Amino acid sequence: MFDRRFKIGIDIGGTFTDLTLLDVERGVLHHYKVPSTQHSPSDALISGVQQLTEQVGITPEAIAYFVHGTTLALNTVIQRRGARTALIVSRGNRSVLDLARLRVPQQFSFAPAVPEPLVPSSRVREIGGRILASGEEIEPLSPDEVAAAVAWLKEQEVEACAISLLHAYANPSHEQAVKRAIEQALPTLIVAASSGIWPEIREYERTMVAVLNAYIAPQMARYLARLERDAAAIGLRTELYITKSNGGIMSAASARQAPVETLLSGPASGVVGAAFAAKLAGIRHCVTLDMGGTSADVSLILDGEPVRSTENHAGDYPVVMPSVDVSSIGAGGGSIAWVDPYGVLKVGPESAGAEPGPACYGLGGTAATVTDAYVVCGFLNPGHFLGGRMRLDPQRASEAIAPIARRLGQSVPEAAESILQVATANMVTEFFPLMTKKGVDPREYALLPYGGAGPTHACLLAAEVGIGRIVVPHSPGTLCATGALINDVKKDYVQTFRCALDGLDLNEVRKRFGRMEEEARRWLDGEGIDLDRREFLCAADMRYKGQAYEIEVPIDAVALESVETLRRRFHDRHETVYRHADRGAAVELVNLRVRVVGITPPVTVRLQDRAEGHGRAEPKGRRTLLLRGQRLSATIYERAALRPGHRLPSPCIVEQDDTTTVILPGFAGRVDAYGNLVLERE
Amino acid sequence: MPTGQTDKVLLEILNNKFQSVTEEMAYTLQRTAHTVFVNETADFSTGLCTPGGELFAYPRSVGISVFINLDLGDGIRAFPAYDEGDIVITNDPYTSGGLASHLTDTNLFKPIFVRGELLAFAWAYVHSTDVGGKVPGSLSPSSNEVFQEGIRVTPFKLYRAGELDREFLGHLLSNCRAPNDNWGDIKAVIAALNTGEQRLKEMVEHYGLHTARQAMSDVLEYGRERAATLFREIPDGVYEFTDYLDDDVVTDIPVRIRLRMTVRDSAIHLDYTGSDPQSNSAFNIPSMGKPHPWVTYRLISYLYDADPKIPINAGLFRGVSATLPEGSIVNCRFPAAVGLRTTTSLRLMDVIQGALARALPGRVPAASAGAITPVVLAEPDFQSGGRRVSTIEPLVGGIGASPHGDGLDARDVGLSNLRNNPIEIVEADSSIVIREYGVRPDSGGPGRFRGGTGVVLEFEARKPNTVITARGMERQRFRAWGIQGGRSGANGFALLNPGTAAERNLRKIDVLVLNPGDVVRIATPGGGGYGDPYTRDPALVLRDVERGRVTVEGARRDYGVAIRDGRVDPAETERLRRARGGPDGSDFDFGPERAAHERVWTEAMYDRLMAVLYALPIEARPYVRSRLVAAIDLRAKTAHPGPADLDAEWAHLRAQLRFA
Repeated sequence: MFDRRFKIGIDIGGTFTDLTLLDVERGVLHHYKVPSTQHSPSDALISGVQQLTEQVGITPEAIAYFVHGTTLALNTVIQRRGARTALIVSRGNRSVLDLARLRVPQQFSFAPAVPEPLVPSSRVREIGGRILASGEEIEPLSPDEVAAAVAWLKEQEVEACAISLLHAYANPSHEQAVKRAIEQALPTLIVAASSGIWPEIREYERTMVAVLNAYIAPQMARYLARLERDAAAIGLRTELYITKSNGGIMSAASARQAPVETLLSGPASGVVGAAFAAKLAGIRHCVTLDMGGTSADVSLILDGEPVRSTENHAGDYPVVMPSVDVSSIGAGGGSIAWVDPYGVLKVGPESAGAEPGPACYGLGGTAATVTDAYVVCGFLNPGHFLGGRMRLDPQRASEAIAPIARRLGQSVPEAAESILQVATANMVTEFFPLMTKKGVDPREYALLPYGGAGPTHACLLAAEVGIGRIVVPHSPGTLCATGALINDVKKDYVQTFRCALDGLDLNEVRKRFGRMEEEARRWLDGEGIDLDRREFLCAADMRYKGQAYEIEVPIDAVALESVETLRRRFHDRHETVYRHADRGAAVELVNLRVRVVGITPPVTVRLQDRAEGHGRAEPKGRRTLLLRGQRLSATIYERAALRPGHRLPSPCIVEQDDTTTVILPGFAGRVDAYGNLVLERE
Repeated sequence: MPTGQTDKVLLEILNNKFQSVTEEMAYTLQRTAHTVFVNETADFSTGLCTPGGELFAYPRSVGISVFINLDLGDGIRAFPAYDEGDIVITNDPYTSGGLASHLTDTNLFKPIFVRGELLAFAWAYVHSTDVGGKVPGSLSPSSNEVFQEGIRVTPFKLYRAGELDREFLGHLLSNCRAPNDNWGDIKAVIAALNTGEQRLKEMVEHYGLHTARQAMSDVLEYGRERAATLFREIPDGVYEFTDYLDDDVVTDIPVRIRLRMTVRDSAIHLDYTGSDPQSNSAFNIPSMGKPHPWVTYRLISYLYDADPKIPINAGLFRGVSATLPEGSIVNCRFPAAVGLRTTTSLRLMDVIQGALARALPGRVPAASAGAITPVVLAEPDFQSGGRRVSTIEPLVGGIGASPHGDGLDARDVGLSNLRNNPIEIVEADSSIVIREYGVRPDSGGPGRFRGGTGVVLEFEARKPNTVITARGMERQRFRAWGIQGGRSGANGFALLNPGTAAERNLRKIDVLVLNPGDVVRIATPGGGGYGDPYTRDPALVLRDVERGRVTVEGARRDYGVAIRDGRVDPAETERLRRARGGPDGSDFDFGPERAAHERVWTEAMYDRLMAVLYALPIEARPYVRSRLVAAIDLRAKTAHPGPADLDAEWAHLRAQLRFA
């Protein structure tokens, strides 16, 4: 009998596949990275598991829990490699994907562009039969038309079909009938009905949910089948779980049914991992900064929970299912610096990416990037990048920056510093409006940087924004894998139920919530996972009559005691979110929401059991940092040698395999009990 | 090359930060505003300007994009001095130097002082849902004096040194139909101004007053230089272009917009001499004789497409000047009504685009549909006894085809970047049933690249006494032009009960009353095509047929492509295409309606008409215009009238008039 006390979380990124292995009994996390294998992502995963288990001295059989995050669905959409899909809509609505919501991205242009729909209108078929918002049928579905549509579908040679009929959220009977007819005639076809996946009002957005699901389902099914086979071959004998955009996980069987729920799972897991790290550091609210090669993403953690949004995008397409809210603020380490014809220094938006990458990688890149500027300014140790697995070439970095320096009339080090300043200013330019949009003053929050370049750039950004505290988690390069590992099982349900509060039948509301909870309970039971406990979180989207947008109001038994209580809850919530409430105005209910959370046994990470550090850690060297035209002598520490309690006066640099933390003057660092680096403004 | 004092690294940083401040202001406004106009259609903007009134920072990605070069100078100079904490409010074009351009745009600005020195102003406006006047919502095409369009607020200090003038506010709000909404939106604007003030002060603290002030001036100069480089690429010369509004609602006479664009090195001069006099309806543009955003805006598209990273500030327009005849549609005199100046501005965009197309053949797209039509429903609410008012759809047409590809369907460029309303939301909020909402086949101007199609909206009323209004139904007569051999887009139309015995052509819907079972079908115009349609790849024509953009008949008629059983018939296509012969060789295709109009109303005829009209007092012009046009049109039924006939008619009419 094996000692099955290990859990593993695996995240496949563009460049690296990250693995986090948890030894449940000892409360120890092991992190590991292998290069991703673009053409066959599960190859890297399998070899990573083999190498990591070997390193820890166990066999894959010892792993009792396996959670995997995949960008397969998102990449399928971005690269448009999905299934040939057909769409069936109500009569008069054939342009639903072409019209989308009309808005164009470049409003100044003579000739703006919008993305091509995933299903061209030549593969969209209209069908008669009509339902109204009340659910009332004003025209029955015609069996002849259904038969004709099925015959048409046969000719289309499609792998998948989405069905989205008007007001199916209120009455799914027509969609269900069409779905049954198709499944009978074409049993191998994947069929996605909008009301079955996401019964929310607004036909374009609901149609997109169904279309996305159909479009990625065949790929996802093939991928999961292969992964399960490979995993079994190396001795992994456990259910496979997949991470979701909403910050939860689901079984592989559920992922086959609803692959659309995985679209934004990559960044979501990172934020969940960040929330876990924040909790360990005793932080309730923070702004996360995930800075990698091509972009820097930010998100918010409030009260220990990642903030979610229903206005997300997968590539060019909206996703209205609740997802962890992640926004890009531009520059990454690979962003390219250039000088415009007027002599003005610019950074980005072009990126050197992973290949050829920054000039200092020596892989053929010649453009100066932010990473090259780090090297010239002394932020990065050329000999210790990725734990020494990649040597950076300072000479190439300088050579790449030299033409920029000439144009600016600066020395190479001055120009490198200018690049970092402009990159930081670009980030701040995006950052402040974004935070204002979300109604948050970031200066009241801590910054939690992760990703390869997050901790390197954190002080620069925090100083510009006015953030007073930075917390660098123990292993900032593998937070996505950690997030995958500690995720709970989660699923969101929605049901549009539009009704004025005056005259609202609360029994009907309770009944509907009851039905949704029942469905959620059945789903959770089918996930086959050990749970500590389960939670059903109810909420209602409400708004002032006439408003275009709703706000989500948490609902408990008390809120449903009377219409007046419900109304007061809405006004209070509106006051909190928008700083005003019009207590005399008419209010309406729009959607009911239920989120089921199956809480997995908590992951306990033990406090560092190594000896307390006192005073200053033992430096491993010094190097020169360039900052504001000055040459500063910075102390270098090895992260692994740091102990809780160690103090890190600025300027100093902390090196570890997956990142480099730069502590600039104005900040003082220390190591907390969990090994996090806490940098505070002096 | 750059003349600024700020070093080029700092310039980029501060330019980004200034812009960031305006975007933060915009999000503050959007988050805290009350009304749908602000939240949904984003009809608002923010900015930072110099004490002289030039906007040195403007949001790039949120709000209305038009007002980049709005001049706040006259509004600012309405007061001899400012104290810290003052906030000025105005919505009146005539006393704010065109800062506000119709009364529903509530503008506010606030001085920003640093250590007692005036550094800049923060500015923002919102489109208020209602500011009083003769109709709910305040905007009516048939208004003929600004007094009918709501309460006029000449520049007034709503706050003096931080102290709110409650008496004035009460007076203002008591003249509006939805005072709570207005006050809510004004508070949101104030919150935005305060955000701008606070952030700019923080920047000064960080970089110093002198640096900040210098940077304000340098980013404007940087904008001017960047634009100058691009304007210099336009060959020197004089480029003329004319387009028309179908009519001014109160008469059937087309409204002529005439532009003479002169390019000399990097200077652009826009001369609108020859445009029609101001109208007796609400289509006038209160430019106040300045190169106002409404008469210059489309130049931004040229700049943006040539250099998408161009800084967005008023400096871009420093090299742009304009001649705007007083009392004309583009420079109306007090108290002309101005509520629907947007409708006219769409045609001004077309003439600038057309002049640019003449200057830069092969680089500029064909005309976009150029009409924004909010279809508004007011149906009886049997419960309350009142009416429920909601917008069914804000309809627009298609975008003109470019030298590089087809125009976008069912969308428009520039002003009208609105979201549509989901069918399900419309039906949930009202009793109507939408029977069709989709792209309109054969409406995009045929071309090597096809113009974007218009849309069709068909709905059925289910309650008695359901009222529909639809302002801005333009391009029902004069089409969006095609270019370089491309054909013009289809005109828009509106039908009642189509396909039945009771079918009726509604032409322009002002107020329409419907009863249960009545069906309305509105079709919006398409954008113009680019290049000879007979050179369009037959495979693309087939794709358009498959995707419902072109019918099989349209493919044959407009493109010379024969489609049989879902396939291109190459032999028949070859025959059709050869049978036509060569293209007709003209640069622009304006459509048959305009050709017919201009057979009578030639350049020379218009020159005479304008000479007569502009010599008259402003108030006399509409009458004389309609008399003369009617007389000439009558002669045209039987003869070919020329300028001499117009002179004769004028001599005849003048003899009857005492004032002339």
